[in-house]
Amino acid sequence: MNNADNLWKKLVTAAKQTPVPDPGAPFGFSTRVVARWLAGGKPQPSVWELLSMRSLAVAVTVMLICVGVNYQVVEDQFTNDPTRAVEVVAQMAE
Amino acid sequence: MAEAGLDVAACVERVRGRDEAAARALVEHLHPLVLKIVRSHLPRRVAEEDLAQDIFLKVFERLGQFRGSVPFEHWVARVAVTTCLDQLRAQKRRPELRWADLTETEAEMLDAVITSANVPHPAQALAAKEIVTRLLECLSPQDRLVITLLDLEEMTLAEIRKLTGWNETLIKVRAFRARRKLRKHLEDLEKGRLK
Repeated sequence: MNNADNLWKKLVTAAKQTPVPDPGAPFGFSTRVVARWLAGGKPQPSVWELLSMRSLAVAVTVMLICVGVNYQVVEDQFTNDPTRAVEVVAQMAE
Repeated sequence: MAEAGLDVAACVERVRGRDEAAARALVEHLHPLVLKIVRSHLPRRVAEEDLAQDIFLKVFERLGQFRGSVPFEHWVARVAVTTCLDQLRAQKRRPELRWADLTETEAEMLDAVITSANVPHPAQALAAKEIVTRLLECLSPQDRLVITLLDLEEMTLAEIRKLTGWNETLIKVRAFRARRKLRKHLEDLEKGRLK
């Protein structure tokens, strides 16, 4: 057995002498675990997460409205008739 | 504390029916077993209570997969070890342990261990445990697991096979490679002492 193996063995022997903490469950532990399990196992989303999800929904709605209103302009971007887009923009400007 | 008289099989059946009282009784009964595994393999920066909670939630969620071919406690222990291994994988591995990383107490204790043939005094056990943990953090999660089970838990190959699902050849190969890496880290640490 070389020095390193011997050193490891001595360290492990000493480490095993550390006092073992109490294995009892903390007060209310089982209640918390069971409540999480019955609630679906996942923690409740934070306020920040809820607000973020709502903001995302609002942003998507606004985006869809914008696309709907400007659909003709968007469509004309993919046609070969650029004058039609100019006409639509001019109409909107009036 | 563990409930000695708990009829585990009946309790598991009631938990399958989402019986809250049975689930609480099962948690109380299994807590010492789960906590022992958590404490042996706990990554740093993870609270033992949080990890124990995650293990119990996995146990409840996977209860449908338990077929009763092994004792329930063995199945739970395997879930616990797998969960700990996943946590260790998520933790960044320590590249090395240098002499300069040791606290004064740890350096004194290690110096005494290196220069004498004696095992450290029980009063130095905490320092020894800290060094052992930090050396294990230099290994990959699987290597760390196999060394912990063999050297610190003093498990047999058959017990490790049951707990991890690895075959005995794989365990021996992993243990051999892990010891070689550990030896290298210890030698590097000793070299740092002489500088």
